[in-house]
Amino acid sequence: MSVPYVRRNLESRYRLIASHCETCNGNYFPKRKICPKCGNNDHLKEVSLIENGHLGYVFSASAIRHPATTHTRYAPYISAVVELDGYKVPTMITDFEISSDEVDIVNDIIGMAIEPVFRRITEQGEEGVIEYGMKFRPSQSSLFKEYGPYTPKKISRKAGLVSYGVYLPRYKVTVEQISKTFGTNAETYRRGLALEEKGVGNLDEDTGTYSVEAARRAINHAGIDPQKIDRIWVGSESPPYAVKPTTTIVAEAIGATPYVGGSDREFACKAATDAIPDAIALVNDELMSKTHEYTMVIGSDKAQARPGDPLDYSVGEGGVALIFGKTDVIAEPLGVASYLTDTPDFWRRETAKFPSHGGRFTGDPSYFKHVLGAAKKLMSDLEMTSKDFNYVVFHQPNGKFPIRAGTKLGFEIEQIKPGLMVTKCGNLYSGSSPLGFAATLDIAQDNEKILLVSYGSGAGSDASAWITTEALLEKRERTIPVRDQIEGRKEMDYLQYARSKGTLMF
Amino acid sequence: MTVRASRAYAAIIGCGRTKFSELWDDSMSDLMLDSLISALKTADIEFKDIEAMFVGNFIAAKIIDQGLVAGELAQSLGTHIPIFRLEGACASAGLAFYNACLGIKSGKFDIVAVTGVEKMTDRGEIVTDALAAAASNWERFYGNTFPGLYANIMARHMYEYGTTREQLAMVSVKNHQHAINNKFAQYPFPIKIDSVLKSPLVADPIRLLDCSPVSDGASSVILCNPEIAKRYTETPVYVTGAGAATDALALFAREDFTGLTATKLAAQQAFTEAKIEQKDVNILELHDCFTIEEVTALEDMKFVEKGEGGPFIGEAVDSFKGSKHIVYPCLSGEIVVNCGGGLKADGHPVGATGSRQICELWEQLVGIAGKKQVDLDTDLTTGVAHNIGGTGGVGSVHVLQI
Repeated sequence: MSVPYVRRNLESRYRLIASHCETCNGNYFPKRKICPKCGNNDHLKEVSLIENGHLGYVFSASAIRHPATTHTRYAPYISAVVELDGYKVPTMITDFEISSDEVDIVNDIIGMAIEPVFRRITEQGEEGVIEYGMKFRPSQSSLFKEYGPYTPKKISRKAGLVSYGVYLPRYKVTVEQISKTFGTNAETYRRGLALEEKGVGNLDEDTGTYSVEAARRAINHAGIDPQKIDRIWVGSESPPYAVKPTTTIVAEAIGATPYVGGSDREFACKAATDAIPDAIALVNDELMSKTHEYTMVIGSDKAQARPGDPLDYSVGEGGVALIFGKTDVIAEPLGVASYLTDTPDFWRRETAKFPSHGGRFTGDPSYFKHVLGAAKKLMSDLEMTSKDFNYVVFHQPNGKFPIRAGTKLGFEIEQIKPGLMVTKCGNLYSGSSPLGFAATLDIAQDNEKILLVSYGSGAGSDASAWITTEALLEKRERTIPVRDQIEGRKEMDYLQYARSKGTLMF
Repeated sequence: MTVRASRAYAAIIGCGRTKFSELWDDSMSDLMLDSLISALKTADIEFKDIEAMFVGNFIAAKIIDQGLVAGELAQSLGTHIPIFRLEGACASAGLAFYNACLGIKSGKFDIVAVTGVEKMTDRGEIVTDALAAAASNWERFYGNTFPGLYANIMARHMYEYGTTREQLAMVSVKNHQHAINNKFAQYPFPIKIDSVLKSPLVADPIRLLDCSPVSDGASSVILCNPEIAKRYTETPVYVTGAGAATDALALFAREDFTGLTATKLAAQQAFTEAKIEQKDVNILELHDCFTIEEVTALEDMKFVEKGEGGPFIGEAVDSFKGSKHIVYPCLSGEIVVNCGGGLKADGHPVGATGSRQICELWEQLVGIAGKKQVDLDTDLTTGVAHNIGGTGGVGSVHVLQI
């Protein structure tokens, strides 16, 4: 498909925009100019089939084993027609394993309940554009909820966190799988780094798709019109393109375009938290707030590692989105402090496929120096100690570093644990400390204080302090809790994992 | 002139075809000329007698980079007569034949030739992509292929009517049986049901032996004004009904997946025009591009009740004890479907299939089909050809009578 062609159909591909005929009640996807049943062209209403938690079922399908050359990378896969509230939609079924045995389409696929997910469809060769669209996957009804608009209850004077959204993939790889592949001792990683397993996405997931899913969940949590989101930053170190923003994909997929600003941010694992002060300031500023009702910060990565490298055991995948504004704030900021020096402990040159790192140099002179530096500065600015916080969340390259950093600052293990997700999720890079923050917000009560400390190699750290509000509890039912998302993940073997990561070459 | 001749669109006075196969030595032009020359011979006329040509071709522009097939043919023939190329995916030659009939009926031409041709094997690696041009871009975007789309139809038919994999496999078994005496067929040998059921998966639930093959080939038909047909032959075959219809390109844009509206409408038109009913039909060439399509076409053309195609075919093939043709015992009467093996076993050079079906019916009705001549208790008087493009985006049905 040509680039102009792909763009022309973007809203139907990204947001399933369909037409409903108000004269004859006909339902059509994609949207039409003339009702094919009654010929009417004045009373066709546009509807988005992914808003408000539309669920559906598979109408018919086939497992494609001999694809066109444009789709060989993803074969075998299921092409299908699904029915959503009476609309028939062409799509693919994803997160569904196809073995060499026949898929029983009639008994297992037709009628299967499904939920929409934003995924990569294909790419125009190695150098061409990436094509995204809506696929569907077997629905996890326990996680999928119906959301509508949230009626505003309280407008604050100052900006704060309005909502968050987390997307974690449905597959995982255990430390044992990786150890078995490279002949290492899994205990080294289990005990030494407190790593057990990590989330891995499907072949069709990338930083763009994680960002979109996280953003959609954050919008659902807030219950706001995406048109009101005025600036979006996507922080990542694994963007789908070397040059071309991920932010535009997100803005289009959530329906925030065209009156919206934003950009991609890069600062290793603190690319997202780096934008939090900006996101708050724009909403607070007297002049800027006129065009910034809500701002969004996303941390998302399909984190990269050289196969067999210690990073291979720890890098995770997923996305976290945070929305800032003044309406029904769930956590108010108390203050922010940053700490930054030029310390090359982890880097990737332009043509390198995998990042390099400084081994043990990434510890004391890098992670600890910056994390402790930012945290101490903020605590001293705020005249607070570890005892004043209910929870603390650090960047999580492994399970040991955050605990060591917390202990050095006088925190107890109970304050750290609610946000410590790396043991099961791996290091989400830009999404790492935001994920811990979200997991903590999942369980926090109102009027509790949280210290959030990120770390980005290179190196820098942002510390921010938060106090939760009643709105956190009021809007909680609109979230998909982090810990629920790691239940029932399917295990991949190393080959499947390598294929998904793109490190298995063919 | 008989009544039949007086209301016919045209009379067929000759047909010719090439073998359908991987024809590595023949170009598209070679195939067109070979089939045309043998058609001219059967009609006992020369090319200079032909006033216009109607050419069916689908994807020469994609597979062998040749557009303007009419010019290619004019060059090979050294002619300046009008040549029209019709494109309707796998129904290209059906549409060419339809328009040739109109050309005669209008009085503009007295003798015309129809040639269907496809050269598919030169670029086997892009055939799947090229054929998908007959699907909608939405279906292609989500990775669907031609077998994939018919698999959607098959799965839905199995789901709604309980049609079984075994019943569907019987379609292949039957069509291979019908090809054994066809010297032009790509696969002139019998296959067993187990071979179909164990053949490699292509697009579940469709397996390799549910699919018609990738083929090269051409077929030609000579048509003339019915009033002058007897000058050329004692046994003209008259085109007494011609139907053509369209439908939404994409499967997902239709209400029902278990049948093709284009088939229903085209068949209605053709049967009404020819003043025939299902019981009058002796032989039927169906567009069995995949096994499921023979089932749905029998239903759509009302030879069996909706949803009963599977068990009907299953029983007919299962109880077959003979050595030649498997006769379908329709309520309306006995018919033989796909006398020379159909698309499955005769081969399916997509743009040539519609005219190949006409060739088959013509031979059978005239009684010159040789070892594959259909032998029913009644005389063969009426044949029907059913040609489908895409997943039913276009279709044609023609009634031929002698």
